[in-house]
Amino acid sequence: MLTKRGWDTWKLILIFFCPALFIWMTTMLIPFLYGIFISFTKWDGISTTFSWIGLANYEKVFRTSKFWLSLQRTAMYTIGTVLISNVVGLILGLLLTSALKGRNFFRTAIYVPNVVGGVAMGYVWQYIFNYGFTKIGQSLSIASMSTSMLSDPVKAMFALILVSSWQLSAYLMIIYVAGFTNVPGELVEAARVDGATAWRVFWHVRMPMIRPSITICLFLAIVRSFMVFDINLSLTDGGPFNSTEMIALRIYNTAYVSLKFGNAQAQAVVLFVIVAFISVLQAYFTQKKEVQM
Amino acid sequence: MVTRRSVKVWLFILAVLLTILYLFPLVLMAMNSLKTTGEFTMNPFSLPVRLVTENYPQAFNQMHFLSALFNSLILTVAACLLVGLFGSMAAYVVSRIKSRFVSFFYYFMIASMCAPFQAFMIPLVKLYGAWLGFNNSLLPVIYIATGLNMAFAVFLVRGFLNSIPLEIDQAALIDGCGSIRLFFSIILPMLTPIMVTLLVFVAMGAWNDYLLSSLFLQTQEMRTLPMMIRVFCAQYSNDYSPMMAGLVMSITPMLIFYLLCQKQILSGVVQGSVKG
Amino acid sequence: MLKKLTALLLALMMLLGCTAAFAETEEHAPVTISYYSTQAGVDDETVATLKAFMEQYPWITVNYYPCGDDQLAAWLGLYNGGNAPTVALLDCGQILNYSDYLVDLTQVEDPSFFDHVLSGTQFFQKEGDTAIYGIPASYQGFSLMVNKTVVKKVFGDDFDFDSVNTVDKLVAFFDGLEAAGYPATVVFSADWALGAHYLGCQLFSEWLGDKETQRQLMADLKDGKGGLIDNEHFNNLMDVFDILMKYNINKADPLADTQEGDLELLAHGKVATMFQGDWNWLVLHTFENLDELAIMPLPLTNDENDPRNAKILGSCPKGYAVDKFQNTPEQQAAGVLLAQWLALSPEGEDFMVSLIGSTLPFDNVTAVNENPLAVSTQKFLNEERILDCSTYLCEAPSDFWLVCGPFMQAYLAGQMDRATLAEEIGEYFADLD
Repeated sequence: MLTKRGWDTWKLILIFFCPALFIWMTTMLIPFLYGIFISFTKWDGISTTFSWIGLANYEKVFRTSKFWLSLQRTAMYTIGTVLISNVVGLILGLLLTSALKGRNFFRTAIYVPNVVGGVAMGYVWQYIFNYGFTKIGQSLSIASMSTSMLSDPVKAMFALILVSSWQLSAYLMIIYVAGFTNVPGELVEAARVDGATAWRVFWHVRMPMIRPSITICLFLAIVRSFMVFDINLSLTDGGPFNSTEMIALRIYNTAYVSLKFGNAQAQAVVLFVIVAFISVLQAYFTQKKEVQM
Repeated sequence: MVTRRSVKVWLFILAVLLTILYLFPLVLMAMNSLKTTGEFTMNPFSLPVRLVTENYPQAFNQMHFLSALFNSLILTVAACLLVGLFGSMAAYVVSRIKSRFVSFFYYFMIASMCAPFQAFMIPLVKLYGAWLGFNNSLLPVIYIATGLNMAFAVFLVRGFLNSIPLEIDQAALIDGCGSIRLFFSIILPMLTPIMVTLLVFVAMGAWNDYLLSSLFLQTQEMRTLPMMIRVFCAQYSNDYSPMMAGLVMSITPMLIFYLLCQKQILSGVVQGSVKG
Repeated sequence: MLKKLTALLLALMMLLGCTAAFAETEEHAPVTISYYSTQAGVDDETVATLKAFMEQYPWITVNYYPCGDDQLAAWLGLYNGGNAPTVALLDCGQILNYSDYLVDLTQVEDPSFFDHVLSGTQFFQKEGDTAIYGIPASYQGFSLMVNKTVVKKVFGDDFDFDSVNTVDKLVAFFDGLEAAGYPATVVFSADWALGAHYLGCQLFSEWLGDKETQRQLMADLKDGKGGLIDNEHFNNLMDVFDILMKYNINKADPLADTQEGDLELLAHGKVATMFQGDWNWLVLHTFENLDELAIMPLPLTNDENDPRNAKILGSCPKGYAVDKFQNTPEQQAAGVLLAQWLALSPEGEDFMVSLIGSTLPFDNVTAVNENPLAVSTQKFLNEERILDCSTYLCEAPSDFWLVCGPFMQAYLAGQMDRATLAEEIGEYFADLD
């Protein structure tokens, strides 16, 4: 830390920190508090008056088994997606920072799915699952592949995890690439000259250096998975028979199809508390490790 | 005994396979943009029988491509500038100054990254639309997009700043450099790699944003590319082929931007300076 | 003196002129209004239609707010931003849900335009209320869509579609098709199609009885009385659903279909029938070499004298409504003009008929409909062979299809039996606020 004191520090805080703070407060904090207020009311989406109903929305949310089911599902999806996308992202990052011919091209190409956005990709994948894989399955007469993955609850969840990881891993790859690029070449060379195997170089030289990247990636992956919306909507739309309806989609539907805005806000607040808790926990543990290093 | 050369070959083949896996849906998209919607429906995987190029002019006109492109560009560039500037400045303070005030709000900001957008979407519209009277304007979209990315920006840049030794700051301060000049002329240039990473993320988000823009941009002239893609979606049907053509056209500028930034990421500015 | 007099006269004339001009502008003071349409995918055509309106009513400027595929969210967003569209084309259920904010169209200066509306205004009225909150925008029919080309090939050119008027005859009809090598039907498995169109619209329709009977069933379900499993009508329509499932070309993988894919099968005679409605024209017309298509009734009982077996389902799903919450009286007046013009002017009708391919419930329609399915609907409408399903569309909770559609999907996939299905639907109703 800089050892500056008093007025100078405050001047720096005022000029450097407060603009960001102000923007964040006016676009996130205040609207979020307002949203919490709405969760205590019954509201039709238009009226300028809200009828205060206290904790009734929360009671209803906690009593609804479908809410818990959806939350459970989201947790399973998150675990799967976070694991797969991070492992794949890390491998991609490692592969594409090694001395590989045309690595620029590969990086650029692999990242492309993220440029398009979730909704469009979800639709294309839907066609691949429904018509592509099934045709392959039929022509090879593999029974388990000749029906669409999207029409079976378990397989549909797996498909959702795969497509999400496919996109997210490329996203995380960028962070890992940046992380690996920061590992000084001399350090790796020195280790090699000392006779370290590729695995040892990876585990003992590279990994410790990219811990901050791992923290960022895990955090990003958890948050993004817990709030998955676009791909969920366009790939499965919650189907078959609600087996893949994640919490964000459920919140959206509660508000804009069921027209229960207070209830939807209450669910959103619960979701926020859960994700915030997980993230704090995760950040705490990863940072502790960093200090130990 | 595996030679390093053969490892390289295998790695290269692996990279090629992975690239095919990652690009396949996009190739499918480009391929189907050259078919009619009818052909597409019958078999999305067939090669085009004859090249149907009409989808492109149709998409171009139906999407009002130029005005949508212009709006998307303004939104993306403005959001990137604001997030980059204010985010890195704030991150610098968080990284360098021990202050309860700062760390209190910093952790608050981090926590807010977990808030689902749905939780404050309606309040945002009420605040900026109804109370402040911003309607059919890019300004609130730019401002809110900046705000939504702020926490992530501070978080990301702070992590990077922590790896830049304090001695660099101290040396500059001893040389009589003021804090503000120190940041802009010494620290900021060192942040280039992480800033590029950050800006790529922010730009992707802004470029692909649909939900936020749809809340504030009502007329066709004000709409962005992702909103105009929806002109091909009807309640019970989608006009896929022109939609694919529209998608191809709307991702191209982003692709170009991304290609350019790759070089920046690669240059590895940090390697020399951090370890000094 | 003369000079002064002339000046005075001139001044007076100018003043008069001014007041005259002023009076004229006051009669038609410029007003800016807005139009929100849930008819997505035809934005440029909508803009062109609005332009024609502005040429006829030069003092009115209309801003067009297109919608995405999240129609209700966008509409509510406009309200929350203090930017409520003056006129909105909305589902009748939404119009009734939000009628507090809408103009009662019977109370406008000149409500005579309703004289041209043959049917459908009742869908925009609340129970026991005389106010009307919307002008019907179209009439839509559905039941079993059929590929006539295939049927004629199998059963001969003079096949009488009305002869399929019992469940047994439907089975025989399907068997005949299959024997000739044509898969009989495809069940479109989207949650909204199964939940809203097959289950909701049929369950709460005139099949069940008059409006009172339909409302009674809904009220009983809401009171938690359940008992759907013992309801004869419910069982009839699920029995027929079992038959559709049995002959479903996608039987092996019933949930893996898409709307475009299913329609392509029907359009090119790869299946003979499909349960859906005339709005699918927006997809169908994009295919080349279309076969001859029509709609036929779906019989639910084995009584050939039951007139219901000879009817298709239909209703007015959407209407034009005018906002009174955030629009000035002048804007509302202009909005009413626009709403009736969109519904009843030759330009508005041409838009709905020629472009969208809808049937219109008006007495002054001249536009020619190229949608063969809408021509079918019109035929059944003219012959009064329609089972009205407005109770579902207007009065069922807005998320019925979202919750119950997946149950129907599970049933279709063989993962839920009928008793559980009935129970789940009952639970859904009982759990409403």
